[in-house]
Amino acid sequence: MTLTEKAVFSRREFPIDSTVLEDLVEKSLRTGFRGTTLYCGYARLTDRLTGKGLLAEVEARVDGFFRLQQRYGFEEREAVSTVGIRGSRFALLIFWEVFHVLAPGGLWLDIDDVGLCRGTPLTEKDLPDRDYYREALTCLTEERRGDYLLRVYRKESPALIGGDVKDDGWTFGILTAGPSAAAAKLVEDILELGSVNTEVIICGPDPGGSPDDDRVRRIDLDRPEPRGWITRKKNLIADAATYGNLCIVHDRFVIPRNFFDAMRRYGSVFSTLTFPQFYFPEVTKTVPQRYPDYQALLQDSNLEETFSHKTYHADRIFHPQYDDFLETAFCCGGLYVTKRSLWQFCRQDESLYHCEWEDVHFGLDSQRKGIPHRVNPFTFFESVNGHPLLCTRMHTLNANGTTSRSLFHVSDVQKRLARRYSPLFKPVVNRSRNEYYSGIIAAFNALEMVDESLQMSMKDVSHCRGLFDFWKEIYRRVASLPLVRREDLLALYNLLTSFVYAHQNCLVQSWIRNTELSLARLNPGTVKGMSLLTTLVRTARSLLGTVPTRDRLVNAAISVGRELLPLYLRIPVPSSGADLSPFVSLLLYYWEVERYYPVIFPADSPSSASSSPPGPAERARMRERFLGSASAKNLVFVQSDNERLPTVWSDEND
Amino acid sequence: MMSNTSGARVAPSYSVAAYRGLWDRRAAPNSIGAFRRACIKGVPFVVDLTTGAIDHRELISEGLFGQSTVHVFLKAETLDTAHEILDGASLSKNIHVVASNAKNGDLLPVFCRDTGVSFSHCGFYLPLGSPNEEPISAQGRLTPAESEQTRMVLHESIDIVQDIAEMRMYSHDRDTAVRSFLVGLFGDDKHYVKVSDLVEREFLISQIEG
Repeated sequence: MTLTEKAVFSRREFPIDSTVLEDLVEKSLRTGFRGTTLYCGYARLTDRLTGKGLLAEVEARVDGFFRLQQRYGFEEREAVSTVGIRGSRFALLIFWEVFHVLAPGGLWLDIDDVGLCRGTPLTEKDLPDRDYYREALTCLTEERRGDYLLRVYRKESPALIGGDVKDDGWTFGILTAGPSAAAAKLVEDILELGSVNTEVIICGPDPGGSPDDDRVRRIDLDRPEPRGWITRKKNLIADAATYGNLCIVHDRFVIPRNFFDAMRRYGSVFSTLTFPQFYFPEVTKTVPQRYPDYQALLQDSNLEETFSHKTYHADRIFHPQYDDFLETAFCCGGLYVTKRSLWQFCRQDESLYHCEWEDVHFGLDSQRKGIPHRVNPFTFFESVNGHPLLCTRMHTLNANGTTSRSLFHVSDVQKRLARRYSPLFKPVVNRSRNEYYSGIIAAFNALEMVDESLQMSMKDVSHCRGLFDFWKEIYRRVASLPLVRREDLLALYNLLTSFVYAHQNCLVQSWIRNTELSLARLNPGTVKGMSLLTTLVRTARSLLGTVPTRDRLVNAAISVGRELLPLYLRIPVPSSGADLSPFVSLLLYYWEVERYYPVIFPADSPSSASSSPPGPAERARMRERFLGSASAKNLVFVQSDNERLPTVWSDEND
Repeated sequence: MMSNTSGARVAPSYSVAAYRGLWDRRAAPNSIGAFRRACIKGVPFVVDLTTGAIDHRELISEGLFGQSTVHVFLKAETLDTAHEILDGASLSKNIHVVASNAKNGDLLPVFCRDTGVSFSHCGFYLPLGSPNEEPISAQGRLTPAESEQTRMVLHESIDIVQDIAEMRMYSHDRDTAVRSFLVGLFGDDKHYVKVSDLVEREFLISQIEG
């Protein structure tokens, strides 16, 4: 056997005739190749080729976890050969791995479909031409035979990461934005991992409470930047790093105690990695909930322009499984593991700030240069916060290339826990109800178009307990505001970007324009019906994609409408006819969140349920049931070599 | 994308320019923050000094006219007014002047600083105009020299209208009609720049439509 893949990855076949392959390989190997050439390809080799000892086959099932270093070392082979790899979605990974197996001065025979050697939708550069490899590889011969292109390269110089591969030291960089107990704990836990050559660099304000230790130091931006200049901070950490291995994290993680074991198992020749990241909504940690850790931009046209604009549409970002890979995949900006030399080779774009898809851009930039973004599945990081917008649904990419938009990921186990053990749940909001309500009310009252008659007070929301009822009160007033200028809408939507999520400005401008057009064009006589229709269509569209067919859209609107209509009728309708869909969508989201997250604010303590956790037997049963859920199968776990990864419930991680 | 005489590309990455800077929730339209944000993100922008809403001294002290990252289209009453405003400031070749009082029909001349010393005519700028008029009510009488010198043509999008009542008066496909008209008038070898107040939305649309 040679390289294989699960059928679901639908690799393009490489139907080269065996005699042609024999001829090409034999002829090439006579021209300077010494010893046994390591063969890493999808074309089956004939006995004639293997029998002479010319080629040693790599037999492996290729997926996102494919590694060569553990078996074949780092830059130890004198000759390698790749055949037909470009028909695989994992081509860049294979190329990365083979490149780092080959010794400087070694030769590389590459044969592939000529049509696939002209680049990809991401970049017009073929794999050897990408920046990371280009300087190190010299093309010695190139020959076209029918549909096939044969090239022989010599590796002229060691890989850029060579120095860092030999370095066993680690620099952990933590980004802070103010006082942070989580950051202090993170520092403490990192130091307790027990590695000798470890340092921690905090970039940002002193989080307070971190250990007084020579291995910890703090750096910061020259001046505070309220937008969250995380790209700059990460570059500063890389610049200040003493060691060749970098782990850069935001201050919302718990570092796993088996971090170094997981890195040893993965190997020291890594590109840019992240780990599975989970949020546990309740304290028994029975239900791991995927955080946006590893994602992919689903777009295969116009990528150059999109990359140059640095503007990305959230609707095109999906969560693949951890063993999957796309050239447009990217590690979430909250957690990177990489080499210092790689970071310096491909730095973060400092024109981008927090919540501006800086991580998508970094991922595309890296992969355009030949540096893959991947997942180390041998442990996971716990996020102490849930994602504010993804508590119930997320876009999912299936291995067969299909997508599940807004996949509902709340498992039956979580529903059961919410019913029976609600006091064990963490609050959705980390501030007290009063603090949360009063902050938003103050911001609402400060809007220029809110005159005295529309001013709110805490009395107006005294009946509110959660998020849906509170935001409904806000929306009731928003719906009656006189909106006459663009600045009014900008200020209005700032309520959402300031208190819910810092949405990208491109999206906010789209909201503004949609509202403007609805205000400028709608006939007040059809306001209610049109608003309802607009909302339903928008919701259906978000479920189906950006360009659904008309029939699918109508069917989906009917289906969504059936479920949401009773709820929708509880939501106020703007008298002006304004399309304020972002507020309506938020209400629908919070309505759903409150069904499955019983504790909204820290002080909430549902009294009707048990506050003692389930016993070991019940926990085991629930975990078993969770494994059968769509969330577990599509988002949390993957099966790799008869092993379920990542390990979530071992004693070590509990 | 076209090149100027020195070989530098004009508006290298974008066919859109920001009407009031690249504003967002932290940087109000026409604020220094919005212009700085446009520079950081590499988006060309218009600075309209004819409205009195912008203090040009702030932009000069921020170095926005001396930077060489993005193109800046300075809208002043005349080229002479622009000279007075820019007197003593450090200027890069990226500074262009749109002379709002020097109409040729509906078109305003655009002057570039290709040589790095003086301004010369290099294109035209079409303001939005009133909603009841055809996109260009009176076609400018372009001299052969002007046609020859024209490399870039800017036109304001209907999305620069900020008053919701006024928006109602513009046809939604006006931008497309204007663009077609201009291409017909100047030819397809020019660089066309849409002046938009919702630039990031434009980028998002281009991604979706791509």
